[in-house]
Amino acid sequence: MAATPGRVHLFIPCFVDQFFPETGLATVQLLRRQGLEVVYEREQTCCGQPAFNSGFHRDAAHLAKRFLRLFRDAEAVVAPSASCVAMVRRHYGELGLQGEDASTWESLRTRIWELSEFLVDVLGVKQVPGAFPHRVAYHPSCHGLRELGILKQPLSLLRSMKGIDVVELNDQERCCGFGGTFAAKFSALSVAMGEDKLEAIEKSGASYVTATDDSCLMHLAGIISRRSLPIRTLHYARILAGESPEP
Amino acid sequence: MSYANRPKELKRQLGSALRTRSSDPPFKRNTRKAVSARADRVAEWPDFEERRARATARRQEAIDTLAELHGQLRQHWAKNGITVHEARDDNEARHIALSIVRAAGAKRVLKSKSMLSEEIEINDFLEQHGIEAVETDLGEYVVQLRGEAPSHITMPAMHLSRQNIGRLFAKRLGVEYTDDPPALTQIARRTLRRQFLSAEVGMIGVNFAVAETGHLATVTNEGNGRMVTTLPRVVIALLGWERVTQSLEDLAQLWQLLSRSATGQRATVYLNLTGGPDPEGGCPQQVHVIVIDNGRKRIHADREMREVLRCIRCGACLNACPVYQQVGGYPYGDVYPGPIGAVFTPAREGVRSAPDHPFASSLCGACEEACPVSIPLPKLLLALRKQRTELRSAFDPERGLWRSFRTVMGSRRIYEAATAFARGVQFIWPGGPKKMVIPGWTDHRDPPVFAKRSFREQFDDRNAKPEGPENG
Repeated sequence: MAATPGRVHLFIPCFVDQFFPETGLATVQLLRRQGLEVVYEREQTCCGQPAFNSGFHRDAAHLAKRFLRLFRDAEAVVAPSASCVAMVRRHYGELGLQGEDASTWESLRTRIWELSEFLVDVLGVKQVPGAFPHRVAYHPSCHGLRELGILKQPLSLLRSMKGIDVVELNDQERCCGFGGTFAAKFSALSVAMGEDKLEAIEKSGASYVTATDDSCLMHLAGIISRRSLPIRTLHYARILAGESPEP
Repeated sequence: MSYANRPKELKRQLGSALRTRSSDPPFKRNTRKAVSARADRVAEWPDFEERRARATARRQEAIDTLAELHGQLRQHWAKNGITVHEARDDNEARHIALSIVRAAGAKRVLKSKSMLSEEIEINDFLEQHGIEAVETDLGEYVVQLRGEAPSHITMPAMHLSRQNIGRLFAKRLGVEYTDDPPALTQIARRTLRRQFLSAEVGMIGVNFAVAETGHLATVTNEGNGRMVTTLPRVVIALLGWERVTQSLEDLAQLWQLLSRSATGQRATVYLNLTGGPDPEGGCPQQVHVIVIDNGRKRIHADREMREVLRCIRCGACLNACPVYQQVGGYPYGDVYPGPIGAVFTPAREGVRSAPDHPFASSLCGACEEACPVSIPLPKLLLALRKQRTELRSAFDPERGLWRSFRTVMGSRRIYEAATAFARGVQFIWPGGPKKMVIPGWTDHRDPPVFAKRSFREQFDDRNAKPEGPENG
C-alpha cells in the first residue's frame, strides 16, 4: 500500500466532463469523505486514447505529452474511468515518449488510479455509508478487468451499502460492445454485442447496471433508450455517493 | 472456395452476416460451449499459469531459433528417408504437391484436417487437375460436402447445427434423415472407410515438427490422421515454416495445452507421429514434407509482429472473441478468422490486403486471456492499426478527423468552444436532443445528451477558488 497522499488531483475524462458531470461530482464527494483535498486542474481535456486506438499515434502522443505536463506534479491522480487510467498507465509507453516526457510517465503511471482502486487499495476503505435498495448488475469493463485487474474493489464497496443486491451476470466478463471508435465504425456489431449484455442484465432481474466506465454505460444506455428497456445505467461512484435514484 | 477471389471487406461482410444470421445461430451456442469446456479443463490445473508461461517461453525460443531447428530437422529427415520440399508461397506449394501426386500416378488424395492446406487452397487446385481431394475429418467432410470452407480453425463445421448436417447427409449421401450425432458419425465413417482402403496418396497438416527426432506430429480425434499416414503408399505432409518444436517433451506440453484450449479435452484421442517411410517396405513408401513460407518469414522479420508465430492454432481466441461469437468465421473472408486471423492475415499479406481486420475489435482482451501461448493480440491489432494509418495519404479524411481531434483536445479554450457549439446544436435539434444524428453511433442507438453544464463549470460553482478547494 502506498503512503496515503493528503491531496488528490482529479482527472475527469472529456466525455465525463460533458455528458456525465454527476460522476465527477460523486468522485469529488467520495474523496472528500476520506478527508482529502481535491484539486481539479482546469486545463485538462482528453488522455488521447481515441486517437491511439485508431492508430494515430502522433496525435495521441501530442495529447499524452500535454496530459503529462498538466499532471506531472500531482501527488496522486484519480479518475472515475478505468479505460482512461489504463491508457495512461499502460499505453503511454507505446507512444515513443522521449526524455523528460518518458521519465514523467514512468513516475506518474505509479501515481494514477481508477477511483475504486484508490479507495480500496490505497486508502483501505471497506465500508460505504448509505443505502441503495435495488438489484444492481455489475458489468466489469474490459479495460478495468483485464488491463488494471479491477473487479473486487468496486464490488466490495457496493456490497458494503445497505439494502443493495449486487448480482453477477451470466458471462459477466464478456465485452458490452463499446470499444471506443469501434462503436461507431462497426455500429451494428457493437449494438448486437450490447444487446446480448442487456439480455443477461434483464435475466438477472437487475433494475440497474453499473460499471467503472461511463463509456460502456453510455453505449448500453443508448440501446436501452432506443428500445425503451426497463434498465437504468448509473456509474458506481454515483451509487456510492448516495445519489438517490429518480422515482 | 477461393480466398484469393474473395474480397476481404470485413466491414461489409459483417453487416450482411448480422442481417442474415438466424435468431439462434449455432456459432453463438458452440462458442459458448467451447469457452466453458476450456474453463473446466483450465480449472483442473492449479499451475495452469506456470504451464502457460513455460509454453510461451519455449514457443518464443523456438521462433527465435528457427534456422537452427530447421537444420536439425533436415538432418533427421535425411536419415529417416523423408523428402523435403520448400515452398515460398501457396502457388509453389500447390505445384509441388501436384507433381508428387502425379508421380505417384494417383487420382485421389485423402486428407486429414489441415488449415495450411486450406491456406494454399489445394483442394480446388487438385480438382482442376483431375485429382479428387477427399476430406476425412468429419467436420471438414461436412463443409466439403456443402461446398464451403471451414468457419473455424479447429471446429470446421461449428456454424452448423446437427439438423443442418442431418439434412445434408440425407440429401447428398441418400441416407435416411437423422440428427443423432453418433448416427451421423457412423454414416460418415461408413462412407469414408471405403475411400481409405483405396487411397494412394495421403495428405496431412503437421501440428508440430519435432527438431530433436524429426517426427511429424498430427493431432486428431477421429483416427483419420493415422489412416491417412499409414494406408497410402505416398504421404504428403504440409508444414508451416514456424510450426517446429524443440523436443518430444515440448510436444507433450504443447499437445496438452492445445487439447485443453481447443476442445476442452485433457488430450485429443490421437496424437500421430510420422517418422518416415516404413523401412520394411510397407506403407507409406514415401513421405514428402513441404515446408511452406507464404508470408511467415515476412512476419518473422518484424520483431513486433513475430510473437504471432507462437500460435499453435487451438482456436481458443475465436471462441472467446465477442465479435466471432456474433458472426462466426465467414465474414473474415480468409482461412484464419477471429482474433488470430485478424492479426495473422494482415501481418502475412500486408495490412492493405485486409484493411478492416485490425479495426473490427473492441480490444476487450478476451483473446489474449484465452491464448495458451500468451500472444498479445490486442497489442498486435493496435500495431496493425498504426501500420494501416501510416498508409493513408495526407488528404485522407480520417487523418483530418484526428488532426482536428488533436487540435480541439490540445487546448481547453478550443475544447470549450467546440463542446459549447455541439451542445447548442444538440439542444436545438429538431425533435429534441435524443434525435440528434451522430454518424455511426445513432444508426442503432440513441445519442448521449450533453449535460447543461459541464463538470468543470459545476466544480467551479461549488468551490470558491477556481484553481482548487484550498478553502474547503
